[in-house]
Amino acid sequence: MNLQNTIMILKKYWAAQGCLILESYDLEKGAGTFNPATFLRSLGPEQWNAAYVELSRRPIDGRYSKNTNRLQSYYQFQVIMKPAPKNIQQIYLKSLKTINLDHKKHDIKFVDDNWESPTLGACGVGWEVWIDGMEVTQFTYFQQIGGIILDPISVEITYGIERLAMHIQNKDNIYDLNWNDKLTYRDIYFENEKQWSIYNFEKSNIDMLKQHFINWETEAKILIYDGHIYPAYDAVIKCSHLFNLLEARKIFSVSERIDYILRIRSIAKLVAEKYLRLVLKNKKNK
Amino acid sequence: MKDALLEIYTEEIPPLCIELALKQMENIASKIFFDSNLQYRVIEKYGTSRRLVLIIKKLCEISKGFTKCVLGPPLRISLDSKKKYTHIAIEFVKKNKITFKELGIKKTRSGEFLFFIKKIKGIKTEKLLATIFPDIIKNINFPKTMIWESSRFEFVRPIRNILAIYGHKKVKFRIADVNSLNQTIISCNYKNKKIRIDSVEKYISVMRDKYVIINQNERKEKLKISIQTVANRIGLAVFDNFLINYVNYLVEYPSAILCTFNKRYLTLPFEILEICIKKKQKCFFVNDKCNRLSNYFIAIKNGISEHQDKNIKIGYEKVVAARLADAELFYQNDLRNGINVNAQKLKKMVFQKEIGTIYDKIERIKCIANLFNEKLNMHIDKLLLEKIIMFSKIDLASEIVFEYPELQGIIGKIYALKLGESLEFAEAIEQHYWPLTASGSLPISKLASLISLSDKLDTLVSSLSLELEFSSSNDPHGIKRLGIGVARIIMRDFKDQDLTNIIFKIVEFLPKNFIKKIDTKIVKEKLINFLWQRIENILKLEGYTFSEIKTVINNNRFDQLKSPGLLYLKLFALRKAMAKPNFNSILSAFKRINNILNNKNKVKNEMSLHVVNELLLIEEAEKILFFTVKGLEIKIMNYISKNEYEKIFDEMSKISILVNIFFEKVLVMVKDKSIKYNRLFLLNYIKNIFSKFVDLSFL
Repeated sequence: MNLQNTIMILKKYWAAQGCLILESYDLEKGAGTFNPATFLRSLGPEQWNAAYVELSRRPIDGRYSKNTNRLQSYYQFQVIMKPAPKNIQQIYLKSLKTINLDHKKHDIKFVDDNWESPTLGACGVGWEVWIDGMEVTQFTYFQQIGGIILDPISVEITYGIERLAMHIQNKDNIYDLNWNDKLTYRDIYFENEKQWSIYNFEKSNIDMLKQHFINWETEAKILIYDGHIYPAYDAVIKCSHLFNLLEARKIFSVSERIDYILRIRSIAKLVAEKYLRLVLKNKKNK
Repeated sequence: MKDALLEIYTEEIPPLCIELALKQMENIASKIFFDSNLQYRVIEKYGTSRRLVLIIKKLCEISKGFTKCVLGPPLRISLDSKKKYTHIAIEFVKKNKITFKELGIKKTRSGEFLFFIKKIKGIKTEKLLATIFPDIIKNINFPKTMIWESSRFEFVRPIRNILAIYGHKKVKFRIADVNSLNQTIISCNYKNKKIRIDSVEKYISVMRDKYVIINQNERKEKLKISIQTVANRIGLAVFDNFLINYVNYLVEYPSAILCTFNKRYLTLPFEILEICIKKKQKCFFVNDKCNRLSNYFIAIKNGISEHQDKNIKIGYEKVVAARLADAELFYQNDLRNGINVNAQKLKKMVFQKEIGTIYDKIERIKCIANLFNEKLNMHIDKLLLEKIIMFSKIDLASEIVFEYPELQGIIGKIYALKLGESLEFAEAIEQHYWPLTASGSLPISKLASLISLSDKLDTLVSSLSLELEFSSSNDPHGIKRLGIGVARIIMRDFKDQDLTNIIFKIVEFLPKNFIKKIDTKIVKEKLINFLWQRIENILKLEGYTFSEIKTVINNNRFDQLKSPGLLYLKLFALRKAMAKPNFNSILSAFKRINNILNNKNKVKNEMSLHVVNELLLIEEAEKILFFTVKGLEIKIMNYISKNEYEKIFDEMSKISILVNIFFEKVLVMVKDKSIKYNRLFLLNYIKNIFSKFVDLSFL
């Protein structure tokens, strides 16, 4: 099963579970959770079921194309369901079967891992799901987003698509993955990874990134103040990515790093609070 | 008598929480059974990755009835002058639904009361369990809980089924959106298959037939045997107790799978193999027949062993190979880069904004360590000291530490040894991060302890100058943890030194431009204050009470950090004195002095400036008191300077007798102001002598 089929099967499967199949959000982000379809939509009382593929950019994980299973950008298949269905673990295990990962032939373990995104003021309780020792999914019951205690609780399931595909296609090297039956991951991303690794680790303009961070942070605050929640949230995402780029340059001290995280968190929290207020107001007006 | 069974079936519970939960369940159950007068033979507790189980053997079918004496109103208001019951007594009878015949009179120490004997009937266990079981579930504390459904019940992971039976009957209750059943769940072909459990006796064996080993000890045995069985061909499996227990609660039916990795990785340092295979992948090492580490490891699968395990083996090997390949690359890069390249990298790594890079920090650690070394005549070779300090942070620039931060210090040690440095040198690098936790081991050698202290003090001074936040509940920068480390090292290795000047000097090592912006005096005060608070924390952890600690930490502690170790001598003397019968006399004497002086708040401040006028002493008791104390003053000061604290308590005891006589015989608050104030001055004089030693008002 090639990679694009894997994605298509998962999309079909989750659509059948009642999920809205969305396309990815067009900003650089470290995880599918940053997509407003998860961060904002997990707030508030309305039911929300969605699934989408998201490009996840982690500059720090770049390996100049030299590593067989690490990339600075890779794909996540993200599912968010609110409220969390009672049999969600079963639903998830069945999804693995649809992509040829039968749990009778594999060792599937839920290894406790409490997810936390300090930058988003978000935390949840859950597991890493291991298939034969390889972490392929993060399975989380959200508890807080933007510092707000959630009600109802959403469940977030994040598959690492390349990891899954490596297992399904029995490949040792990520670049050997078949994207379709003609092209491999190498054909599409090998050169891309190399160049981005060089940029992320060596070439990015630190002063410019720092200045952009300040600019977008200010912009976020102004937008929040004026009540433009969605544009403000985009500014938060941009700050987060700028922080990730700066972090790859290894210039942060421990406390400076924490300081940046706290700054992003404070604007993320404000956005979440304003968004929730808006949602509750709209619901009342209905 | 029948057996009772409670099985909480959840999504996978974190392994480290399971034994904690089981222990609590047992305690809660036995307490509730005791309180309900419900007798049983024994409570058994079992846990798997998804189940918390209590079995109560031979539980009585009804709780034992008992009688208790209920006291009513006092007799004097229960009967009127004509010996008739008053409305108060009638009210009592009505309220308790009894007859007047049942009333009796009971003599107690506080007088006579109406009373009656209340009979409490036994309740059927079946009925009791319907509230006892949910109470057990509600009262388990977990380090971290979650919410997953609309009733917002909190538990470690979502509860998906509850099996609750007594004998052959279901115990009915509802909790967290789940109704209890006489069924449990096993996962089977992507469906939760419900299995009916008809009797407690059969539960464990029925589950075993379905490949769920309920009993953790039985499962652990199976785990060990299956590990050793697959390891036999190679040699002996390495049984790490922590890992065994962890993995045992990660599964319901363990099967071992022998896997292998490329031999060349055996040349990597063991710590790196350990983190890749054991810590990250939860797999077991295997030693070969000569007891050397082999290139085999054992993965544990959840479920029965099958021919399809080949897939699983391939999977685990792939993950481990990828991790090792990654680590090997980092390791080789690090060795190739060597010290100089990494030292250059440190010049670009910011330690704290405005305060500079890690490289700058290293220079400051050198200054601080040198200062200690010189001022306290520690006789450590300066060149060696500076070299280790430089080396101690080098691994922060290494790729392997960037990947596995928990290896900081350990990698430094390995690289130092690789470059031919001595073991003492290498170990100082590792240990300069110690203690890693509030109660973790302290650095062993004098060298390591000095570097650790210097490093931590520098971070503390920087953090306090930058006003980084920390509070009792929130410590995002780990400042308090660091402080505990500093205080523990001081209390072990520097407790007899005057550190005040050294500590003050440290602030001046900060960058000049930065110092201009801060008030160094405030920072110094903050630092000393902060360290004393941590010292208090440590004493508390060592079992001293709050009042004992407050008693011995004298009031002028904030401006100096001199011989903090003397606190131990004082505490020792205090405890010894407190054990003596005359201690109450000391306490009451000095409390009375404090009380009377505190009442005179207005004059409190000027009081210390005044001297007792001998001519104004009139009564015999006050004369004796004054001259005795005056005679002892120098002796006491001498004891204080020589730290002979037990002797001071002896003197206090003598003086306290005179003080108590003074209070008996002499009125302080007389009309004549000059005499009154003279007496207050006398008491203040006594107070001041001892306040340099202890402050008894906390006791």
